Amino acid sequence: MKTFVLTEDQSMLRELAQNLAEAEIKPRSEHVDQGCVVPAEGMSVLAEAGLLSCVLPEDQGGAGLDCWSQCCVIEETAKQCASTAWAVSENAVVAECVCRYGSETSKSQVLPSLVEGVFAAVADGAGLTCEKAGDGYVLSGRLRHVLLAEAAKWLVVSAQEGEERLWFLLENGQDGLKVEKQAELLGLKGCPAGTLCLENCRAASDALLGGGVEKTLRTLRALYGAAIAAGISQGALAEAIPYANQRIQFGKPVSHFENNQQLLSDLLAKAEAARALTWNAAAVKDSGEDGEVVAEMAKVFAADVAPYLTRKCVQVMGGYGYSREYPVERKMRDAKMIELLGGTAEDLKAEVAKALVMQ
Amino acid sequence: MDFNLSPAHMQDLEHYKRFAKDEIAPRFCQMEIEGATPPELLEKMAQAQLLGIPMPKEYGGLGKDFISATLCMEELSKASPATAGIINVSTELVADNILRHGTEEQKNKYLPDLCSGKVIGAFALTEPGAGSDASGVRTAAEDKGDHWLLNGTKCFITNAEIAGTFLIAAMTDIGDGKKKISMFIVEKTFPGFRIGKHENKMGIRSSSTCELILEDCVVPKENLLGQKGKGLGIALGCLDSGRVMIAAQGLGIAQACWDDTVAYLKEHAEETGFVINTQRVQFRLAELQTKIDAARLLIYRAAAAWSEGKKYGKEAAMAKYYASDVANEAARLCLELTGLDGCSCGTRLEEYYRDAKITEIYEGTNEIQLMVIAGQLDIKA
Ligand SMILES: Cc1cc2nc3c(=O)[nH]c(=O)nc-3n(C[C@H](O)[C@H](O)[C@H](O)COP(=O)(O)OP(=O)(O)OC[C@H]3O[C@@H](n4cnc5c(N)ncnc54)[C@H](O)[C@@H]3O)c2cc1C
Repeated sequence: MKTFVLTEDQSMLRELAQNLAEAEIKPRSEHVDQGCVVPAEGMSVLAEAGLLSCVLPEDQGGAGLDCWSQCCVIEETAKQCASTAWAVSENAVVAECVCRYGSETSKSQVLPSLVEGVFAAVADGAGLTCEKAGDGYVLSGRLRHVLLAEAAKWLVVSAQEGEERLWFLLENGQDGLKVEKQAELLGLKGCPAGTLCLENCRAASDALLGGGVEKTLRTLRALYGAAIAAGISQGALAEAIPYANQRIQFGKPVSHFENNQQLLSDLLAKAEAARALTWNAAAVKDSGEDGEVVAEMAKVFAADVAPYLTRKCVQVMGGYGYSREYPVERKMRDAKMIELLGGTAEDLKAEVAKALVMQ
Repeated sequence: MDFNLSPAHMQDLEHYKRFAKDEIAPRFCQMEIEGATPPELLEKMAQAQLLGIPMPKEYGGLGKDFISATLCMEELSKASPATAGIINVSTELVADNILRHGTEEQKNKYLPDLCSGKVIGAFALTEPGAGSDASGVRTAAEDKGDHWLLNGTKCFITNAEIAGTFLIAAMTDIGDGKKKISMFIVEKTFPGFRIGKHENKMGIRSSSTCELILEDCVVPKENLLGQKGKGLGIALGCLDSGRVMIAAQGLGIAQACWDDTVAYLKEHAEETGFVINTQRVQFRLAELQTKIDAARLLIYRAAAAWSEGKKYGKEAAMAKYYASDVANEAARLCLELTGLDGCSCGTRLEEYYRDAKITEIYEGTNEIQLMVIAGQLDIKA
């Protein structure tokens, strides 16, 4: 289907991402999920093509592309493997936050490695505290459910200092920072969760990320979360529709039953709407506005569609959809995780209500 | 109209609850990880006579009614939907069919072992080319004079690895070159019978789902179940009762999701900022419990009609359609309310999300239920 809004550059980039994802990421996706393997190879492939953190300016090692292009990379990756897409998204979020709010030391240390494909993770939950010590800070506390906690080289964490919430860049393996393994999760199994355990963990003052980072981080995670959800939905339809065309029951392809036609048309419209909202939010951000509210609305919508749509795609494939031989059951599990990560629907709706409802 | 369970049903319910809580629930998540039902659990279920609840006492059953059977299904599904599914197939699809269509010899030979749980039953209709459309069955049974010879492949067969008695649908000649489905009772020891590929599934992983491969499988003449050529009616007939059971399986999942979520939110009230006291959470839990109750009433209506010997095909389809939908909605919502704690493998909620989905698919997909319901409503011009 023709999409009318991309520039020629964006289209080319999207096509590149699409081809790479199909050729290199899809074949590894089952192993990543069922073996709970971090998608290091997929990340390398994308890094080599210059698609990781491509939003960074060229003088920081990036490609100087817009946020919309980054969304396309994430979406195309998510069509094939949501775990890889999550890793790409976290990489891009951390890169932009460090680039805009980090010290010169942080930038020179962190940005080149992110572009090369190291993992990064954001730990934005509550549970950590910090206090001033000398010219830096000391952080303590535990934070559960941090995806990629163990694999990440760089971690962006928030810690409470009295009433104030501060954000830091930490390096895995630094003194006072340990990661405990955690039980496997329902989906995004290629991004195993861990518990961050900080005990007198020192952060120098140049590890601090400047004011404004929280808003950017929240916006980007909502936006990229929406892109992942939109990608999962499209990926599920890309499995279910060809299946429905070749599966014969009662003498005809099951796609010929009216109910399946109505259902699949509805799902296509919903997936298209999810992507359109995501792209709109990206375009708003690229125009120079902060775009927080549109990003939140995109995430609410796209992440609501994905679990519903994947459940229906399993249904269209009947017993085969329920089998791990086909990837739609994985997409149904991944979709549920995306609904919860990067801002839950309820929290995002509360934010939107603050901005647009309450006067 | 009485919406309350009778004292006898209440007593049964207590019994099922206790068994589920003591014997199944503690093993639920571990069984799912290991992907098998431990033989000692099957033995305990047999001892508790859970495999013959609605079967007549003369064949070793408990002689209870179908309401009692659905109560059992709901309670066991809370503790492990997969385990409950094992009972459903063995009792509703196999034993009940033999009871209704079998000869006296067949009943005496097979029912006591099925009812006592000494032997588990499996029911094999589905084939690679025959899912919703049972007429696509290609497995063939050839009349060899003193025996039948079965050839073909069945797929997605629940209980395959633990069952001893299989009901198998196969095409037979009914004269004039016409073919129709007949049902056969096949024992796993019959020559030419073997288990094929094991399905790697999204959920209910502790119950086995496999291919059956029949290669010149020799079946004694007397093992035809019911009349030749009447197999489709037999298969679809038993699905009515099976559907009420799947509805009860969905109900158990939905209610357990609700119960676990409320318990979690109360326990973690402080940690979660007392979200349980907020309107957004309370409304959603209130709405969900309303739907669960509606599903329960649909199930009791179908089970009551069935107990009274009335027709209940439409009621069964409605119950299955609705309860399985509510199960999926419950699983999704409850993971939202419990977050990544609920999504952790080894918690029941994570399991339920994957298990709930099967209730919309097997024993007739929900689209097939709508066809059944529509077919019995006066909605054609
Ligand atoms: C875990 C598991 C256990 C099972 N256990 C057993 C068992 O013990 N014994 C057994 O015999 N089978 C068993 N099955 C098979 C199960 O009953 C079938 O999967 C089910 O009947 C659907 O068939 P299908 O998967 O071939 O889907 P299909 O028939 O291929 O259907 C695909 C989609 O098209 C829809 N559709 C099909 N026809 C129509 C129509 N006419 N109008 C509108 N929509 C339509 C369906 O609803 C579905 O959404 C099991 C399956 C699973 C997954």
